[in-house]
Amino acid sequence: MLTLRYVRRRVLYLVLTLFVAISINFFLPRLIPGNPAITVLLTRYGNHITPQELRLVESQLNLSGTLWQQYVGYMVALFHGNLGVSFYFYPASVSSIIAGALPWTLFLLGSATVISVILGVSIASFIGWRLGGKTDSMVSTISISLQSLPVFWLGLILQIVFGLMVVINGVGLFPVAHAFSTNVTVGPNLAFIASVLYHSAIPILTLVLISFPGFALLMRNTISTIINEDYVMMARAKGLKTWRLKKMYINKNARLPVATSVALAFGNIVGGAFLIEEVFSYKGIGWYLYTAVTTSDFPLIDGIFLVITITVVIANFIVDLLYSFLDPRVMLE
Amino acid sequence: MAGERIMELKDISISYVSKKEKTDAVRNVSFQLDKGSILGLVGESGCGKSTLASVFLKLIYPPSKLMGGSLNYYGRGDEEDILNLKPPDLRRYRWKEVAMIFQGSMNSLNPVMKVEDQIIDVMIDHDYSYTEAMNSVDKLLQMAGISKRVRSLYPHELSGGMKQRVNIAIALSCEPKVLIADEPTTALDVVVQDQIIKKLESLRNELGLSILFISHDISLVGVIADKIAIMYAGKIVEIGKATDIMNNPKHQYTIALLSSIPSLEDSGKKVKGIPGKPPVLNREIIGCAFADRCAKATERCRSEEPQLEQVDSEHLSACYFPG
Repeated sequence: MLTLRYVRRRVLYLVLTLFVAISINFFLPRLIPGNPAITVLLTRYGNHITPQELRLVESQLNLSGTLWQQYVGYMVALFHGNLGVSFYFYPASVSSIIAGALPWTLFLLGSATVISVILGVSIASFIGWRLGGKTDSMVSTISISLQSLPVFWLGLILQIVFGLMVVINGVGLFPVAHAFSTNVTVGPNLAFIASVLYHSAIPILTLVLISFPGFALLMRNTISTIINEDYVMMARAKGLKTWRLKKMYINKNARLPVATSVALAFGNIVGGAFLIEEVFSYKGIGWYLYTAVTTSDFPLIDGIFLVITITVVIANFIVDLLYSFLDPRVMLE
Repeated sequence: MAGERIMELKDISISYVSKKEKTDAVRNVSFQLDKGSILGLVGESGCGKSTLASVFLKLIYPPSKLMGGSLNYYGRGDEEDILNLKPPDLRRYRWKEVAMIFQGSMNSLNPVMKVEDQIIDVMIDHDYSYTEAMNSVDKLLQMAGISKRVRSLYPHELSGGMKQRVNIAIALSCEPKVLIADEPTTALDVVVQDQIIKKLESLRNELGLSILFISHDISLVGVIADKIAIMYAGKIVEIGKATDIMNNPKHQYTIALLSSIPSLEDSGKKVKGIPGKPPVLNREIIGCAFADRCAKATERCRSEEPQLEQVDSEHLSACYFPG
């Protein structure tokens, strides 16, 4: 149940989290040695820099003054909705870069999470009924192995398999780079959508393979304890039909911890999605973050971390709502 | 008067089996449950009462294992061997013929389902129509002595006593002929305890239910039961009419149990506990299982196990020192 008090508290929590995250995000990258203003000037105007030019660029990029002055300047700009200008993609603004990249990441992340949860829960309900059997130990072993693979490594392997090894008419079965092909017009047309789906298949597959085992194993283990609960014994005694026993008494209770873990795992999936975007040259937030970090592009790093924080907090909020819907014992107060 | 039987246990043995050891929780138990009567099953914690209760619905799942014996049911006319029913027939027998109130009834309700749904689902699965099931919820809750308002609540919104009444309502939903009540009042305060006991008694009178009432409290069982069976270390050691057991016990264990009840009338009466503790059941017991705690035990008690023998009409005891 959703109360006004709950929403108020949640918003306060969001603001606090954001403030802490923004501050940390501001100071951390600036501890990296080097002067980005020089980098910008060098890449744009060759190796001829006058001190006047340097100071001009420094003040434009909010790099002049002490770190505290820069921090205050950044916060003031932020309150005006100004995330600054990217150093590396100068003169593009950080907000425009994020606006262009975010939908791609949300698409990748969202589909991977939803597919992983559905797959994990389905597999668990299947083996939860056959605990200790051959299928159980096989599925559990495979799940644990998959879960232990580094996501970027699995991405590379799948690139090799689907892009190089399974070849039809001299072309790989699936594209292994970029979000869509260059020969379609961007927009809400069928060819574009098809191309996007086609290109996202392997990145999403990689993310799903890494994340579904966690959900499957968690739910399987929950089922193994729930099966000994008094209410399950009573449900057996009631002579209920097997599907009802499984669906209403076992699964309905076993999926509760999974909902919690989705919230917790979301952070991990975000991290995984970023690596995957780099591996597949998929121009989402992760790809830009990677570029920003390797080029000391402070405003872009700050902006992207801000977006990540907001996303994770919002995802947690959604899971909370979902949880109160799944478990009548939970009141959102 | 030998009542008409509705269930008969013969030589039931149930063990808990692990790789390392075998614990014989129930050892060769035989008795019958009479139609429309209440049989009280009394024993200390760990004597095998609940394990024995699980056999009536064939709720025997690992690590417990049925080692032998048979369970006959006469509620549908012909004699039926319940332990050999096929899974679909067993499913139809459960709750429709024999229902149960569980010991852990605080946790027997599904936390994520409303009360009414937990009544309706079992009725639908036993061939009642949805409307029929929906309409009987109020009546069942009323019969169990609880407001019909609780039908749309979740278990966590109920008190312990209310949960127990909901369990009774669920138990009655499919109009069973037999009710197994496994310590139905253990976690409840005495006032609610009394109400539940009266409720069970009136259900027997109104619906003609046959009830197996399991409890560790012999004074409680003495109030409600027509017949009483005393269980010790997995065996029935004495069985007979409630009045006989309460007033004229024959087995030394029953005598010790009865003298451990404080009395309201006789304030000078000494309340005696039973020294020692029940034997562990993971190895064979030679002689009488109670011998180590019994004041009258002799060499014979320790070497040769006494068998259940008739001591009076409908009164059996397994003790060398009757009375």
